[in-house]
Amino acid sequence: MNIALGTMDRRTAPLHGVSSGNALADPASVSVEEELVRRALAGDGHAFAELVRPHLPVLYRIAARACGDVVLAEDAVQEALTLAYGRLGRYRPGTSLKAFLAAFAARQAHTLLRGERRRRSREETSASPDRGPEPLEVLAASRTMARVRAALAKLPRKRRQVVLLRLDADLSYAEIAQVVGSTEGSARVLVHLALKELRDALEDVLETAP
Amino acid sequence: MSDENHEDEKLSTLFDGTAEQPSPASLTKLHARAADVPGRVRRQRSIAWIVLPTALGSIAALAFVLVQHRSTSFSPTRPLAAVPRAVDTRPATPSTAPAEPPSAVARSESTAAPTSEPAADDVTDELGFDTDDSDDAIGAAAALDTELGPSEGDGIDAMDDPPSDANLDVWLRATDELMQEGG
Repeated sequence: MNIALGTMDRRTAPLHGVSSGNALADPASVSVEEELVRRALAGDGHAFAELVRPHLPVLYRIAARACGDVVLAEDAVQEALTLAYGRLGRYRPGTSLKAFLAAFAARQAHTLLRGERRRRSREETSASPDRGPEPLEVLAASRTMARVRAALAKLPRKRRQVVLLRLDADLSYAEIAQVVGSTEGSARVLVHLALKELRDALEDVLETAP
Repeated sequence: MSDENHEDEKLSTLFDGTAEQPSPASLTKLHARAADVPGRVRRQRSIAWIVLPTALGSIAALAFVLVQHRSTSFSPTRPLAAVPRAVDTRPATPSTAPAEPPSAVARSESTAAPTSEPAADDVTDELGFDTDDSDDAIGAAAALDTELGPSEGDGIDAMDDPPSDANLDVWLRATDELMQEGG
């Protein structure tokens, strides 16, 4: 388990409305991206891999958040990439590719979280076997992760999506608006409501958090 | 508002702290899988282009066979076995339309038929009947049929069928018995 413990100050700024800086301001970057998109659409696998390479950690993080399993997360990322490739013709180079890809990852996460909810309900009804001793820190982190996943699974679909896009994909409000198909103001309100609901669900965890 | 921001920061920290980071091996694997995506999608599309028309063709053929089967099953020209044969209620007037030439089969049957039975004209001549009189009688029967209507004339028309020898014998015996009882 590769849990990023101790990265506390990295993500403070984006939460206050500042763009996550994914925009490709450099025209040279735009032309490179455009060329990669064109080659990928022509069937060049290496071009597609190069196109998505910088965003693979974010996609993995969203998928892992949803399913809580490394192998499943890898499969989920692959499925999200397949979906994204199918719609790559609609992507306009120069806009946020990260938001474009994260939307598919979040959609896949919805499916995975639904499966996770079913699995949890099955495990609650049956006696779960004892996992055996684990290091205390890892055990506590696992429990916290499970709590976060459970809280996410209880959110309505759209709110869950914007939470993943905001907290895991680190998207700006403008990028979230692009993904969910609304205005930036509506996206801001949606994120605010989703985070409030999540805070209420994880109140005890947040109180004990350092 | 600042409390809310603080809470959001704590939430963000919680998400960062519980996020799974991909290992270098996982990233390499994901990169390799990403390179395989266009080829796989292209293969899936080509398979779909092969399978879809085949499936559509099969469905269309099946639908065609079903429609054909239904149309032959409920065809109005097909004789229905359960429906009794309609009784001929036409008047017994001789047709003024020119008779159709007999078919080859009919001609062969007529030539092959035994000539022991005399022709109808010969019989009427022998019995002294006038064919004109018989024509008048047929005309009168037709008029009676018209007066009675088609439903009332059914019984009469049914007797028009040439009786077989066996039926005739039975009828004669019944007539004799009736005469004896009555006499």
